Amino acid sequence: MREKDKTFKYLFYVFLTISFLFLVLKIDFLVNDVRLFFSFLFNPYFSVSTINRFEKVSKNVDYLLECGVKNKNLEKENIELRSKLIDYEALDRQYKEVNDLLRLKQGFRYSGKFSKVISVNPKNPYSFIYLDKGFNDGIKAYNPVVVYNNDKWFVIGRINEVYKNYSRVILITNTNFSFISDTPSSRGLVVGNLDDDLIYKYIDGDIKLGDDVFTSAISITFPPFLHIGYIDKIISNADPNSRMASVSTFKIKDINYVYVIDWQPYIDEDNLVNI
Amino acid sequence: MMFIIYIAMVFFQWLFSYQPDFMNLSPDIIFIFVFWANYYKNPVPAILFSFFAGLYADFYYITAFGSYTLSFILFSFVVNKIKNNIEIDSFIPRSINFIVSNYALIIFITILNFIVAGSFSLNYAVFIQPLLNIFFFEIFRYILNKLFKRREYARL
Repeated sequence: MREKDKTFKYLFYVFLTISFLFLVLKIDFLVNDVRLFFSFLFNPYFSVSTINRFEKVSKNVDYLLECGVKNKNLEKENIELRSKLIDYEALDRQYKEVNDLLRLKQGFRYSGKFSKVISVNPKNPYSFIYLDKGFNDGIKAYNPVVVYNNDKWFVIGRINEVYKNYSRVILITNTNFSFISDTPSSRGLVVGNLDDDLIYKYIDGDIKLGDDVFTSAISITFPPFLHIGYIDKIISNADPNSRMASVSTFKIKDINYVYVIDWQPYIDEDNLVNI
Repeated sequence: MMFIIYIAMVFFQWLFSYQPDFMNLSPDIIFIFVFWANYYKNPVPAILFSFFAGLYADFYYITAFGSYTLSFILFSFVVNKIKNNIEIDSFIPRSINFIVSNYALIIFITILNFIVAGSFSLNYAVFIQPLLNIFFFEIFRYILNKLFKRREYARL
């Protein structure tokens, strides 16, 4: 028993010293990894939760990657949709314009066809324009072309060449184009100037600034009483016959859609035969 | 033999940490085994068992490393000194002894942690734990005494 007591005491002092050393040296930082390992081995809650956590991390990484790919696809889709949206805005604008034109056409006494401007003469924009309707659409030569602007129908030219699916319009602003026109108290000749104004000359009668100029009742170039523009400048001369005026008319940038009136001043011989 | 008991302690500790607990409480298997070893085994194997059980507890619980080892060593020393004068064969004295020892150990470890680590953190649920421990101690005592028969000593 004494031997055992000695051993016991010896062990007690040894273990006491060791445990004191543990406490004094504060070796927690050295054993934390072992503690973690122990917790992992002996505490299934810990291990299960850790495994779950790792699974969650793995799943989250997968989700992140998936989201990244989806995000890129969505960005692409977004860009496509935005580009379409721009188109839609333009289409919406055009639709409104066409809608207005259709509404106005109801109050317009001439029948005809709406057509879209597809080209202008780049060197002289006020000389010719091209329309997207042609012979197949019922467009004929000499058909007057009008445009709606500032709540009025303005004559801008007439068809001078008709092709299968498109046609060419000579504008009234072309220098080779002239026709008789009226104001409320005068009559004269309108001549093109390759600009957004016309020259009103050989005037018989009185004119004043702001007078509306419209197609004459005696002209066979256009149907009567279609607006051409208004007088914005009078060039006086000692000789009354040399009086001239500048007539402000359409601007080529405003012309997107036109209305081709089904009206012909002349009847071609071919058509005559057919009739 | 003590090694087998040690392994059994680790196993049961693992088992009870796995089982769903009540009020965040599970029986302190390590203390139960240390208590049993010190009262029912010879002093030398008991102190050896206490030391390694303390080490295991130090690795298992997040306290200042060495606090459980020191507590169990001192517990072993104290028990070795007083066990000849304490009645442990009867249920009530044994239970009182167990509960008092358990509370004393908890308080000692808490104070020791406060001194060493400078932080006082006490889960008040552990004050209920001894009441749970005594129940499991009785079960383990019965099983262990059946498996590892207590050697009767004639008091000299």
